[in-house]
Amino acid sequence: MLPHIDALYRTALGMTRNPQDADDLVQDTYLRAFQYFHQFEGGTNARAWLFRILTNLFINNYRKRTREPERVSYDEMEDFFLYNRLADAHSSDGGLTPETAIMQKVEVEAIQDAIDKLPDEYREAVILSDMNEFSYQDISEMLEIPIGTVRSRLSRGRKLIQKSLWAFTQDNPR
Amino acid sequence: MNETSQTPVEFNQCQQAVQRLNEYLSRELTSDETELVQEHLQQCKGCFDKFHFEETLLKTIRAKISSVTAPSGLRDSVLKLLGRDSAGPEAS
Repeated sequence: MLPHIDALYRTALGMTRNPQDADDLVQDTYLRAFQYFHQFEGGTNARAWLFRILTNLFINNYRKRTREPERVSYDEMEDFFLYNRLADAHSSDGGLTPETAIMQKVEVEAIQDAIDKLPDEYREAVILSDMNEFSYQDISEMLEIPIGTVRSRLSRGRKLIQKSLWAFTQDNPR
Repeated sequence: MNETSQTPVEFNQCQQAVQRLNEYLSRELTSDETELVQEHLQQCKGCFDKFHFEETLLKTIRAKISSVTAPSGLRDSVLKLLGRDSAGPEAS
């Protein structure tokens, strides 16, 4: 029963940043899926179909009217920001590799926080790609944006997440 | 930054790989491009370590986030909405 409800809920929560809205959005999604089930072509991707319903409802009914303006300077962030910081931090104590550091120090709360902090457009792309592994094509259709825009929002979103995670490890030394 | 000095050709190959980093992580490259990147990673330890870190980071994010599940109340609400809860038609 209710396949995908966990992933749908996580996505709804990430998009709305409000547990009550997330609840409502998930219920709306299943209700609409139930109503339109006759239109669903068996054999095509049920998960993608459900997510398309969810993102469509989100865009039309839940997304904030006023969205944060996109600031410009994100491309200045270096590639491998987090790797470089972790490698520098641990080069002297010969201890943790960057991988180990990341797996040990980063908890769910830090990740949720990093995602929550993202500007709306980047957050939506990151949620669909990095949480749910949808293709750029699927994401492009779900968010109604060109594939090039998916690419740039994802690239920037990932860099900002790395910045947040780095700040988290600094604030929470272990 | 790599500490060993690189020839312009080597640097260019690293640059070409790094430009494809996000697509590589998202599995959006063509199989030819994927092969090119993987060949470079086999030859360049610096890039290999960094790419491997990025993949680990992404896997870690996915794994940890998937521990977040729908509240049990929500499941019940949805089942009720769809008329599939225990107090369905047959119960009345």
